[in-house]
Amino acid sequence: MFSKKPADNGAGTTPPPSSMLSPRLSASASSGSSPVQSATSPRLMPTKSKPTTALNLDQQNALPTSEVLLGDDDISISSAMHIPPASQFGTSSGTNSSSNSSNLNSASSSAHSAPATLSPSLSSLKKKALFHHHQHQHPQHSLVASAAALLESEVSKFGSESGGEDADVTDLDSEAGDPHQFQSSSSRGGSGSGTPIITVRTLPSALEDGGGGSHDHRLRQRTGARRNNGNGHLATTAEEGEQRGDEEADEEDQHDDGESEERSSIVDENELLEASATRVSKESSEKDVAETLNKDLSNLNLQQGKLKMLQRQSLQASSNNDRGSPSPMRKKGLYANLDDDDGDDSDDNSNNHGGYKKRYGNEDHTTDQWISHRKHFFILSSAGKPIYARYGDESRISSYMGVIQAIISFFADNDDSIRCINAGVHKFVFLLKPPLYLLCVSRSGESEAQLRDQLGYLYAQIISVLTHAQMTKIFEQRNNFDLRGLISGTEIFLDSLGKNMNTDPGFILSAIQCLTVPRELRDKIGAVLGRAKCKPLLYAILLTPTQLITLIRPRTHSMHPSDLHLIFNLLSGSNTFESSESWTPICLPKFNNKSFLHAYICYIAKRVCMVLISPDKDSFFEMSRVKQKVVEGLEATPAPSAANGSSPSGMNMLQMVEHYASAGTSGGFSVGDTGIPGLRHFLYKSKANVQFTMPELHDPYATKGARRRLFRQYRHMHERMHRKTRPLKLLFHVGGQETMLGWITTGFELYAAFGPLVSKSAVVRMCNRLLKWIRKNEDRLMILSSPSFERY
Amino acid sequence: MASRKKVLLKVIILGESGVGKTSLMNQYVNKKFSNQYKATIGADFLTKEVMVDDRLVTMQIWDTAGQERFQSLGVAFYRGADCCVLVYDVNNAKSFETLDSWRDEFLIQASPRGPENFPFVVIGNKIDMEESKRMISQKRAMAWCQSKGNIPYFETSAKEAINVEQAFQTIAKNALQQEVEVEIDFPDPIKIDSDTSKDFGCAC
Repeated sequence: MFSKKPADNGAGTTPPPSSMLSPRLSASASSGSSPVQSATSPRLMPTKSKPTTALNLDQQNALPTSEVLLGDDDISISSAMHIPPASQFGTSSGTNSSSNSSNLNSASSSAHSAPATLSPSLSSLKKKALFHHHQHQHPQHSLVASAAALLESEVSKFGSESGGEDADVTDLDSEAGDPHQFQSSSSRGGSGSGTPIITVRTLPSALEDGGGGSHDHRLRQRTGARRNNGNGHLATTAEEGEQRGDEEADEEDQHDDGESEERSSIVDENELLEASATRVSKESSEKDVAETLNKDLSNLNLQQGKLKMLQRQSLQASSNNDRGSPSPMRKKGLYANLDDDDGDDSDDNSNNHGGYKKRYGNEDHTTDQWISHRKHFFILSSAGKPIYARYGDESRISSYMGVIQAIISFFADNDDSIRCINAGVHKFVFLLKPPLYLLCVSRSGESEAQLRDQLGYLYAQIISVLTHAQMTKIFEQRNNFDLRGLISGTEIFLDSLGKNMNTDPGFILSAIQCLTVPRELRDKIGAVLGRAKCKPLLYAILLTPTQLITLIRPRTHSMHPSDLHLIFNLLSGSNTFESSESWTPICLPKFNNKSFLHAYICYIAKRVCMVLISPDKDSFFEMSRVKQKVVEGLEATPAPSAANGSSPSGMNMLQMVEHYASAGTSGGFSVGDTGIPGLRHFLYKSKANVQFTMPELHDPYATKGARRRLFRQYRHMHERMHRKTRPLKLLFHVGGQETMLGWITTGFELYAAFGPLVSKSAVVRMCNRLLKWIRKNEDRLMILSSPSFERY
Repeated sequence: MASRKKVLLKVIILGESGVGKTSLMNQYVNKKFSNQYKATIGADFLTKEVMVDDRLVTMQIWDTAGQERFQSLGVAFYRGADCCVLVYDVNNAKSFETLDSWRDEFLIQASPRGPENFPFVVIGNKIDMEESKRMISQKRAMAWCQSKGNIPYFETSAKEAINVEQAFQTIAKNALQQEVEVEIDFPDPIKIDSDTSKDFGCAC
């Protein structure tokens, strides 16, 4: 579930659509002929493979599974997106150009109420897409052609400071009252029940009234086109269901943006290819989902459990969106308390002193604050007893746990298991790991898969405290066991996981970040650690609370990134380790979920922590001696002088590593170091090394809000590119605040953020330069050879 | 003692439809009563915190549907209950006669360890009705309880709040007595040898 994901989703496990436009922008991977990554170790193993891919403009060979194709004129959509000033919006209605009669029409027509600049560019884009479509695709492909595509854009009004949140939202893509709609059939997106069904709407010509209101702060434009499966049939219901879910997620994302963020257009080739642009009825999809939910739950009287309340709330929210009427929820400020989720770093450690006091522990389901949180996590036993709730006192909300258990057991009775409920903007994502059940209720816009991954991390955290063997045994003995007693004291780590998963890209990338240090220094530190080995020492790790400095392992074992995440979380979740030498049992589930290892944890310098892991529970003093030896070794050796002279000389190695560790909390280098003007930030994951790197978050991402937005973009890009149904290799994404490029090859994943006005060709050029820079500096940015004790 | 701090008890209320299960729960938790009958669909959940012998106990009360057509929650629903409350209507003979099958059903589905010692409580509800309507005498009910291993018996009125508090206090108390410490032994340490290394970690 964790580390395999990149391999599973990454490199085109789905066959590419048969027809490709001759790509002017193409990725020619050196290993391009085999897009599926072979079973490369997803661990910190030494490996030689290096990304050798480059983006070649104007190269004619087709992508293995290329996804993005954008001509230069396509870029006009982006500029149109962010240029229009607020004033244009009020007057933008009514210019309903009636040019097209094709299906395509509906796509462009939804843009008609947009500023005039937008409309032509969009339709030209569409025309182009259609043009290619006819040229290169088999005729039957284009006949019914309703590909699942979502070209979505939203332009928010500039200049209203608080407008983003409280603004009345007029949703231009709402088809309420559209006389031209027809539905070829209706269905709810469920798990593939055979009949491919789709709800199709034609040109919503009734959109004139859409943009008229002067209170129109946002304009959303959406083109849904369904995927053609080759036989002229439409997408399967399952896919459709997912698509709908995604739409909701997208929408959710937009609505919750505190900043006045422009919604970007997501353009990917697949979609354009088959974009015969039928309009997806969002309204009915949301209602369908809601009805499904209602039906499923109607057997449970939820009048006491307040699940209904959430549901109602989300229904209300969604219906408000649909009608474009002002949302009372929004107005009431119910949604105001949102900041908790996306990484509120401010009073991080405030409750780590003197006993655990839950940050939102005084809330329960009767309080508005509790309901307004973006993302809830619930962990319960399979008997329905509460174990952990992210917000609120878990015993006071134990009625909910009952409801959750009842829902799960309702499906379990039919030998089925529930995975996800989409209810308006909310997703209810389940992870069933008997004897534990985990549930996430989120309107954060993250995908089902991403949320389930997060539940997996929480599960791993609980296992790391108890071991799987012990936990199963306890529940076998007594299935009414109240597990809270056993995990008490470790809730802070669940809390911090919940928070870090929003801010640390390592979780979505399933990779870990290394501290940027010169290779020579890293090697020398490794040698000191390696030489200090003793028999009970299994792993010797030097790290900061967020980044790995070096890790020495036995030749026969490696360390799984998700296990390492648990160790990082141990350090970042509590500051108790900073003051003394600690010895704690820890189960690393990927290593062995049956038993404990023991971790010796000690900070040897500011932000530099040594973790020594041993299978022997009595080896504390030996570990302590190892640490002593390492510290002495580091202090005794003068640090190698840095090549670029950026670091002060005359330091010993310990001082030097401290120097680097305090240099930065994320990358340790600035994006300026790459020498690429226009590049704002990036995430680069080396798949083979399961490591990622990113620069420090400087301006314009110095503020919390901007940072949050950036990570949301990354999450969104990642989600879109790893979507199971149609994974992408390239995604060019033009937003109001930044232009993003996502690029996945067999060797790496790159997500880069540029300024909003950068052209696509420039982005491609810069990405190639960036890759060159990364390759040149790779030995500083990452651990390329994971050394083992045997080497020393 | 870890469990000293927090205890949560899962209490399941069973009985024929219309005997007043929901009313009892509402009276106990919310101190409210409504004459109107509203069938429970699936289940209702309420939480109440009580003090039992100086311990703060959270009661997670699972009120179930009496009507068969709403009983769709499946086997897993009863799992891990700490106490089961069997409710009947003293003015309705049939509701008393079916107690046996409710009890059996519960024991089969929940399959608790040591079914003979599992804490049940029987409640005869609606004693506020006039005496002439009463169908089941206290004597008969107590005899049944005796035969099933001395199940505590209460006669209550959810409407007038008679005996409700006492009944639930006993429920909590008896459930709590069942709480025995689970043996928690430290798992065997991991043996790291090069030969057995395949067992650990994944070799991928």
